[in-house]
Amino acid sequence: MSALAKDHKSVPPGAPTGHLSGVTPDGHVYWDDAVLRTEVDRFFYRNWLLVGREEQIPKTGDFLTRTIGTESILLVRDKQGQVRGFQNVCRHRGTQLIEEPSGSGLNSIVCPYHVWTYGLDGRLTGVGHMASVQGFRKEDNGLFPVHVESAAGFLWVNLDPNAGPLTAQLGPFFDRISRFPLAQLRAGPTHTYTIEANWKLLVENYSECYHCAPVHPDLNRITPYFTGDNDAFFTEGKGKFSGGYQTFAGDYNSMTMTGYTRRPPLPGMTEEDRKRIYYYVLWPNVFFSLHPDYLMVHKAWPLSPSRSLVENEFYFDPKVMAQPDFDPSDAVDIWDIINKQDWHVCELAQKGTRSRAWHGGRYSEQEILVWDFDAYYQEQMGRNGP
Amino acid sequence: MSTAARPSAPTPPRRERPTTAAFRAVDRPVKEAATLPGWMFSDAALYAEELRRLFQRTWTCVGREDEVHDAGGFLTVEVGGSGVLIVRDKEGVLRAFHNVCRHRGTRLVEENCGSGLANLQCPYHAWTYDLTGQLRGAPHMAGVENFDKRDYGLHPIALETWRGFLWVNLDPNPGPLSDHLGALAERARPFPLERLRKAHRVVYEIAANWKLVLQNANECYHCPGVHPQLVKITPYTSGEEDIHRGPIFGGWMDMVEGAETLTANGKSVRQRFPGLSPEDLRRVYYYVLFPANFLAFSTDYVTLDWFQPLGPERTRLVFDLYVDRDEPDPAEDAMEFWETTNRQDWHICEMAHLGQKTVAYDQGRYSTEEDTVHAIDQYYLHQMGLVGDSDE
Repeated sequence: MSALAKDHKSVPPGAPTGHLSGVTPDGHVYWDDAVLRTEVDRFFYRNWLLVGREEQIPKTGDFLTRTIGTESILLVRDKQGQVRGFQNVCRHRGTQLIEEPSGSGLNSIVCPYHVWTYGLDGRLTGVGHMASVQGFRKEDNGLFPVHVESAAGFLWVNLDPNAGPLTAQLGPFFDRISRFPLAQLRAGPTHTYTIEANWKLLVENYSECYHCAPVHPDLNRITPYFTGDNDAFFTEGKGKFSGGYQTFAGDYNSMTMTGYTRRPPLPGMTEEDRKRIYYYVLWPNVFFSLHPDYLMVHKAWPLSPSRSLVENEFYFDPKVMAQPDFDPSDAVDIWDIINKQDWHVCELAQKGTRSRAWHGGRYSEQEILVWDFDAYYQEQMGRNGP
Repeated sequence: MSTAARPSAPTPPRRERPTTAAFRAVDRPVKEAATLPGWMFSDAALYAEELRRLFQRTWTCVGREDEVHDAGGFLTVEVGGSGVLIVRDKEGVLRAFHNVCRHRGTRLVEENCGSGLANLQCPYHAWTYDLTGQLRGAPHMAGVENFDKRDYGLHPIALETWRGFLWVNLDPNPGPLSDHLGALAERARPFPLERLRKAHRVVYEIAANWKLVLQNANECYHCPGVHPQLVKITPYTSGEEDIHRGPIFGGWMDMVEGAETLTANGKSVRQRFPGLSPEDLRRVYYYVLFPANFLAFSTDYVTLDWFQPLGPERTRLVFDLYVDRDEPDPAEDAMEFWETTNRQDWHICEMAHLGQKTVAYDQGRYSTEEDTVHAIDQYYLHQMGLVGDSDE
């Protein structure tokens, strides 16, 4: 849904113009198994991924597990209050350790198969019948660690053992949003969708409002598609994010069923911010949509080349949530409508790109961010890519 | 519970083509030949190649011309895994296009059929095409370099009609439909195909590879065990094959004395097609049009099967039953007969599919009642370039 300049001539000086001469990727990148395997290996196993919130696991022994590609990740708060990340797999015979998506009160991590036992710091503390096994030392057989960092209240993991810091990936993005105390926000409702479309079609869909007039009449009334501007591009190399903002028409002040809200703006919102919705794609799979009075996050996870899982979360100011008349449905409901409109055209796009006739099309003036994502994607896929 | 040794070998992966010997064992005289190896009925890579080499390069009968009767009438179908749109333009010309927008590859039309289409507008970004496929409207493209709307019309697909039936071919350079029909055109001449109306359509989904469904339609070796009601009217050893030149294979079965048409009791409650010879009035003709269609002619109705592979392990089958357009009888008896027969067949095809996948099963042998299946399997291997001279 990101904003796009009214026409190509108003693209800011220095912004990319590759969309005006570029061609979209070939259809097979949206349905080929081998392409997805490469994407998961290069993007999902080697980047910082947003997987949760600090407040989901506030106490020692609280945990959550997440599936990323073929990997299961365990996040647990240890006895020092630090969040630790591990591959959710026993070092013995490779059994998955914890089945539950989340829980609390974990004192140790016990494998359900042969009861190898690990501390919350990952050290192997108990094993039976290993004393005379040659060359086996408990200290060599702790859980495989996974890098975890916290920023803006969100927990991020990186499966690459040689990962750089989160700021190397998203530093300039965090600079942009640092004036908002996002760590204080708390989650409202979450919607989960399974969509019969490749995850990249969802990113591309989020990255343009060329489709808003035909597909989203409500959204287009509140924030007309030609408003706003884009000022962050993957291909600029200044952090792995892209996006910009759209501007409210008239006196509309939020994306809700009516276009109006009585919720006060979030702390830190300037006069200018209150007229805008900021839309960012965080590489590879997060859509970060900051409204005057709430933050919306989409996470798009590939389940197969032609199927994706989307988690759509809404975060509000806890002071506002504490009020007796707090009702997030005006925001959640319009986005449910917009989401379903988007998933529908994305599913049609999935079907169409399977056609043997289609081998890529042209970008319109309104699709600079789609081009930017695709160009960066192709660069990242490199020589062995699609 | 036999304790005899099983043939060895779970399926080797196909990429290396290690089974050339197995293919050659199929491509021998029928009495010496082995059947297709079991792995060929569930392999994803083979399936993708079948779509490309067979289904996307052949004429497929997708319905009747009168389903798209007026200007603006349309039909959407899937052929070889690819979306196809058939529309009658404002001049009354039938046209077929890939059902995909030239912009970002979105499926254009979702509905199976409809009427009153004035133009084709993509639901995503509202690119608009006229019914001849020309791109008429594409907002915000004026500043895009080297973009000329004339270069971005819908991709056309070859379309032909034959006696009321509608055919498409996704091959950009297809041979004429008459080459595909071959000797069948002459064999079908006595039947009033241009006068048909659709009395019934049933769509089945079968948990079996498409080749098993096709093989099943081309032998009656299974009929005594599977179709007791069918063999009462047409004994399974009756009849003869008269066309066995790919892509057409088939022949006829003889009805028992006194039977007028192929239904449960053999009695026709309809006007039998005028102009049939005494021979034709005693026969039911069956022809496969490899790989996607199967046509059958009885004395007072015609059936058309359309095989649509949905994946290596799933097949959709569209079954149409046609009668003369002036025939008042709704042909419930014929449909009921085929509904029973079809379901018996799909069940046994699903059982066959499960068995192909076991590690124990490799290749079997053809009975002397299965020479048509053998001929089709050989034709299949040649078309796929797996034995002999490939056409590619």
